[in-house]
Amino acid sequence: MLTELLISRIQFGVSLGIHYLFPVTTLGLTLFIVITETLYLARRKELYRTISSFLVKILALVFVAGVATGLLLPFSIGANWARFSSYAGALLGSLIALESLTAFALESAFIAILFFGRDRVSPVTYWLSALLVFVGAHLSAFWIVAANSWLQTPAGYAIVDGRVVLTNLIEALLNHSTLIRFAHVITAAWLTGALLIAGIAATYLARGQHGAVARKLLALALPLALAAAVAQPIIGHFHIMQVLHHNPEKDAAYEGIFKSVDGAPLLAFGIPDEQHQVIHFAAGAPRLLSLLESGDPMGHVTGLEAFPCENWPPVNVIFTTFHLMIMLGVAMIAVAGLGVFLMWRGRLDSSRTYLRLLPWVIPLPYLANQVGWIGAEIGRQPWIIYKVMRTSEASTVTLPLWQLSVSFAGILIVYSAITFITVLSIRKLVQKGPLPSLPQE
Amino acid sequence: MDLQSYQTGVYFLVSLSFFLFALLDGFDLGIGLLLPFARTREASGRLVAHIAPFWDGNEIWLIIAGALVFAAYPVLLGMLLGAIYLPFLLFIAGLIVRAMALEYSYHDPARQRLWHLAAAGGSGLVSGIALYVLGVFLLGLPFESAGVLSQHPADYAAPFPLLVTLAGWVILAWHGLTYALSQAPAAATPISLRTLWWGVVSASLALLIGWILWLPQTLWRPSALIGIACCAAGIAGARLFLQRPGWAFRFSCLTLTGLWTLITGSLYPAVLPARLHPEWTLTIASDSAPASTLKLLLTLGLILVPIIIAYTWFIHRVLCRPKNRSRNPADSLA
Ligand code: HDD
Ligand code: HEM
Ligand code: HEM
Repeated sequence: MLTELLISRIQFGVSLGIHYLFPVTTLGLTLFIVITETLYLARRKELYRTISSFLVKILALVFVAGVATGLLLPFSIGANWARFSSYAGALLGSLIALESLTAFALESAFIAILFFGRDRVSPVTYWLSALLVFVGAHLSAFWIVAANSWLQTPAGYAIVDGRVVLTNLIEALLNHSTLIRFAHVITAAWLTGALLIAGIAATYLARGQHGAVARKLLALALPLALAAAVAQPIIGHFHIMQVLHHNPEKDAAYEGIFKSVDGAPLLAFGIPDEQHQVIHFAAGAPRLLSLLESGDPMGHVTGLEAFPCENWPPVNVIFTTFHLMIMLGVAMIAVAGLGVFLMWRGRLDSSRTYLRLLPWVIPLPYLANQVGWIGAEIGRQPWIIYKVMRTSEASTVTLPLWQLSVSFAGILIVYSAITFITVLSIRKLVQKGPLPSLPQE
Repeated sequence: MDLQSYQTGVYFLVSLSFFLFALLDGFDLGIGLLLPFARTREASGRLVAHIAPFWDGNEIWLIIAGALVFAAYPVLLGMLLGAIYLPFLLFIAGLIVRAMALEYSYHDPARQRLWHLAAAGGSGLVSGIALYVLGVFLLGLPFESAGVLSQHPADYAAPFPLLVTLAGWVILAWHGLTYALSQAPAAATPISLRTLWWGVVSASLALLIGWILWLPQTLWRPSALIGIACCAAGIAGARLFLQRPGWAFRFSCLTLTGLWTLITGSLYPAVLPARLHPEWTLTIASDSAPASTLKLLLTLGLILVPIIIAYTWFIHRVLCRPKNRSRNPADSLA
């Protein structure tokens, strides 16, 4: 039973993690497509149309990969988590139904105009379609983040006849963590998109190709990347305050506080040792955590010891992923800040080292997204619905080990192939470069 | 409204979503099935061009239907997918292959024919598994005990689902072909329209005989009679208007509507019918979500489904205007 559960967990985590690579890119790209289409509508410069068409082509590859990796997910909740879905399906299924009726349908319908309608519809209709695709993608993110947040901080429900029943849709949707998580996830997605675009543009500029397009892309992407990167720790602070109030064990594990203390330090680094309840090689700012959490440098911080051991999340994993995310966040502030500074001084074109560095920064936001989610999801353990249902009570009991092994291997192969093909094709597209668009007929 | 009306209303909402999937993605799948019969790369490319902008939007109806089932019948999805886990994953794999293949036939023109064949394989897998499972549902599923489905593949083997699969393939191919012709009336077809029409006639007759043999008890419901009449009218009408562009497709839609009436009418009110022990059948009364959830789903469905249909129709109109038909969609993508 233990291994069956473990495979179901890893399979779900891996398929979601890979799926997430693509929607997060979609969210960022649609933002830039809407911006350039709006600029095109306002100023009617061909340059904007060239840029937007180029981004739309990248979006086509990313979008289909998102669809291909996403199709399995809603069903896998039923297939692998049967006890969970019969327990909470009426509520969670309603949210996913809402997502597909409002967001998936909108996005996948209007994206047809984006991909196939450039010379078939008026510029205004085209702009409107870009906007609707942007709205659809972000609405989709909202629903799924709301569903996930409900698992972390359940609200608006009652338990009737041993099942979860929705009693208040708005309360369930806007539970304690939805809005702050949505803000953090969307900012992360825009940062991801901005650094992807900056990386691509920097390759062109370093090689002296597509100068006008590349400069315009950098002028759009770098300031946006900086704004998002700076916003992220601020939003993150409010996020962790929310975690502190609603999932206190998780917060203690994130911060690596085993023993309750007054005047707790904010750790920047360390290796947690759950057995001995210490953090090795701890380094950080003394008393800062107390200050951040309670406004008083000597404030009281509750440690993991205050909670029963069987309710602890795996401290190692979530302490490490959380701090990795923060380090990556700091690195991205530095990179984007330097870029904006160079641009402001008019030295971006000649800073070849910086331009060569930028493409290598593309993976950082993806990594931050992954570790962020791993921390959030593993940090919820041992609960699948916090304080309502344990993950070990959620899986499908009838699935034999061999079937799970086959499915896991199959999913691993197919999902890796999709990722591989998509990354290669985007590289090819980028090497081909943006083509000046044909004049409007 | 009382609880029972909500249960019935949501049943039809779910059934309508599956029907829209069959009707809309049906022509995408049908065209997929026809691709191997197109002799040249240009010919299969023309067929793919008709569905390239739309397949994803059409496929959403499957997700909508699945999500509604998840919400409205929480026990059903876990029970069913736990029992047919691997076939179900193959079904998803088919959808994945089709999605990637349709996209990459534009991005990777050097291997276009290969991508077209992959799209055909994906379409065959998706429609084949869906049709077989439909057949099993109509017959009733093999239960081991109350609330537990059999895990043995042999218990799912039966001639009727096989018949549904084969006949369904022919009907979908016909649906796809008539759709392609409604888009490009003068184009050469991979299979002659007349031949395929005879195929549809034989498939329908075989299906009717199978139904009489294995499911006689449902044939006398009024819905069954109406459904069969619609099917017959759709097939006969298509023959009469074979030469008028667009009409064969409309009649094919009528045929599918008839099949839907027949199928929904004979399943209702079961959501998971049991073959040998009817008392184990899950029905809308025994497995529906609470009234508040049903009310929410029904309200949302009544508002949102017409809106989705309206903008889908708008986009079809915009992208398929006659002056746009000759354009090659590949121009804007690759
Ligand atoms: C580019 C991506 C990115 C960056 C730079 C950051 N984060 Fe983050 N973070 C995410 C991307 C992300 C995420 C993947 O989107 C998560 C996963 C769940 C969520 O709500 O957002 C997340 C989760 C997450 C959580 C956990 C919420 C939970 O467990 O429910 C906290 C407390 C923070 N973040 C705080 C921060 C802080 C203080 C940052 C300072 C630099 C930071 N994040 C940078
Ligand atoms: C309805 C929504 C969701 C459900 C029911 C759900 C449930 C689960 C479960 C049961 C696990 C396994 C727990 C474990 O391995 O410790 C898991 C892991 C995970 N989930 Fe969620 N989750 C949901 C939404 C999300 C969302 C929106 C994301 C965002 C990308 C996400 C990201 C992850 C990740 C990255 C893991 C991996 C942890 C690992 O590696 O095991 N989940 N989720
Ligand atoms: C349990 C978690 C999740 C489920 C069940 C899920 C389900 C799906 C499905 C079925 C699709 C395909 C829709 C289509 O055919 O167009 C899809 C695509 C998409 N998903 Fe997810 N998803 C999950 C997590 C996420 C997360 C965490 C986000 C963003 C924050 C997200 C955003 C999107 C977007 C924007 C798309 C559009 C296609 C794309 O650009 O990739 N999803 N998802």
